[in-house]
Amino acid sequence: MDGPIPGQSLTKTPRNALYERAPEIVEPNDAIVWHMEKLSDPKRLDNLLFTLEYGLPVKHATQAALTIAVAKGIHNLDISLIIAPVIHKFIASTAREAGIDYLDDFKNAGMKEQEEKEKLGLLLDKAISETPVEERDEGYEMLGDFAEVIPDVDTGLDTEGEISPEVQEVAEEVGAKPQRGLMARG
Amino acid sequence: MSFKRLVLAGSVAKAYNEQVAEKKALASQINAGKREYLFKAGMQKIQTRRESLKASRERIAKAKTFGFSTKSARALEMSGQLEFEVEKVETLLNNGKLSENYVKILSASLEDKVDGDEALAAAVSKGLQGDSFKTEEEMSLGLINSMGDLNELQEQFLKTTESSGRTRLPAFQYSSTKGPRIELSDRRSIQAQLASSLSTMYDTSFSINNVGDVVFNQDASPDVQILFNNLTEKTVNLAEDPTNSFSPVSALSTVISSIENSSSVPATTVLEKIDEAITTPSFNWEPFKVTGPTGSNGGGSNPTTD
Repeated sequence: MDGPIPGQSLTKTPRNALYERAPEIVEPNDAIVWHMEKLSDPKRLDNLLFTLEYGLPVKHATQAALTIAVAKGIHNLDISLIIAPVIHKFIASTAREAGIDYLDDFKNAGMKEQEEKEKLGLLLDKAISETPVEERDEGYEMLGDFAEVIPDVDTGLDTEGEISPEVQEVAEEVGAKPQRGLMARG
Repeated sequence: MSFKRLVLAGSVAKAYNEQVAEKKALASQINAGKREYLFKAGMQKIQTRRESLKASRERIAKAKTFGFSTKSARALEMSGQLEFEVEKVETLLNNGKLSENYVKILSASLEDKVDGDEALAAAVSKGLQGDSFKTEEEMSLGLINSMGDLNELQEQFLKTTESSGRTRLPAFQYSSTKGPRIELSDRRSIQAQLASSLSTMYDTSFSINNVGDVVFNQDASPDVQILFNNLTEKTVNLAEDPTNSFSPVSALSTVISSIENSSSVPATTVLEKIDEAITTPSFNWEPFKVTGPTGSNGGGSNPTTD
């Protein structure tokens, strides 16, 4: 009884919701650059690195960043699938450069999705609550966004797979070495 | 494929390659900027934050050894008051001057304040959720790296599973100058003035012996002695209680003024009603007064009843 009545969607302003609009970025390399720019912003970078040190795995940071971008209509889910390994490698290489000992994924691989999300929520809540007042900037807001999208994050999204050939060249620049599969031979 | 189409495909491919090269250059530029930030400021900032977090956790751990609860220690840390409290309590403890009840009363009062305020409770509990982290990956990995000894590792693990608030809450209102125990000389001065008031009310006399202690005459009722002892403790507790602003002088003045209209009230009744009389400025003793003299025995007939 609480569901929408037939035709209800037609009463809303067309293209009002983000998912009704065409995404801002349709080219995977552009999406990589967009994410790199966002994550390299000094205001966001220190919050991200500190949260990684807290134990937030790179995989989930990647998934959260991609989910936010999709939710905000920056790019679509297909682009997320293509660029996920590159963003993962970018975050991981940044953490390495900063001397942060990070996790690619939780060590307990047999964790249920719900359990995994609860754990992520706790980690992010803790990181947020321990952010000093003077550092509550865009990076702090980014962590808030991460925590908000955790329930919607697809924890099954593979962020460590092979890098798609169409983003290989840009991927080389973010410290990721493109892996050549069987199909790429010849 | 015709030559024209081939040329077209070639130019599209060229444009695409140029675009990719442009993005590659952009990615390289972003990376260079990021590295520059990391080396110039970013890593130092992370290190500073790491150290401040460690110091914060150590303060909370230390406060707990003094008797603060985790919640009250965290609340004080979040309000920025813990550093001062820890230093003060430690100094007083080392000098043997810490009031026995100070930490207990302050900790309980802070817990009440936090529990009574939903927003405050939520803010404090967010950090406390860290207690649920029990696995290795949930530890602060940077700290693990810097140590080899297992005991130290375990110790650090315990610290990392506890909260360490750095977020700011408004300062808690309490008398931060409190903490020192009421010295014996002050206690004797309080006793002398209380004895003086009681001797007038109960028509008895007292003397002060060679070590400064108050000694009531033998004819004084045990009830008066009990009331005297009790009022002394109440005055000292009021003066030491960080949740009020009483000094030893104002605490004594409050206690004395709260009993000043209690002549003709039996000492046992005064004892029974004293807490109410202290907290109620216009407390009325009239209904408790007895018809006959209370005398030095502190007793008297029963209060008048209609």
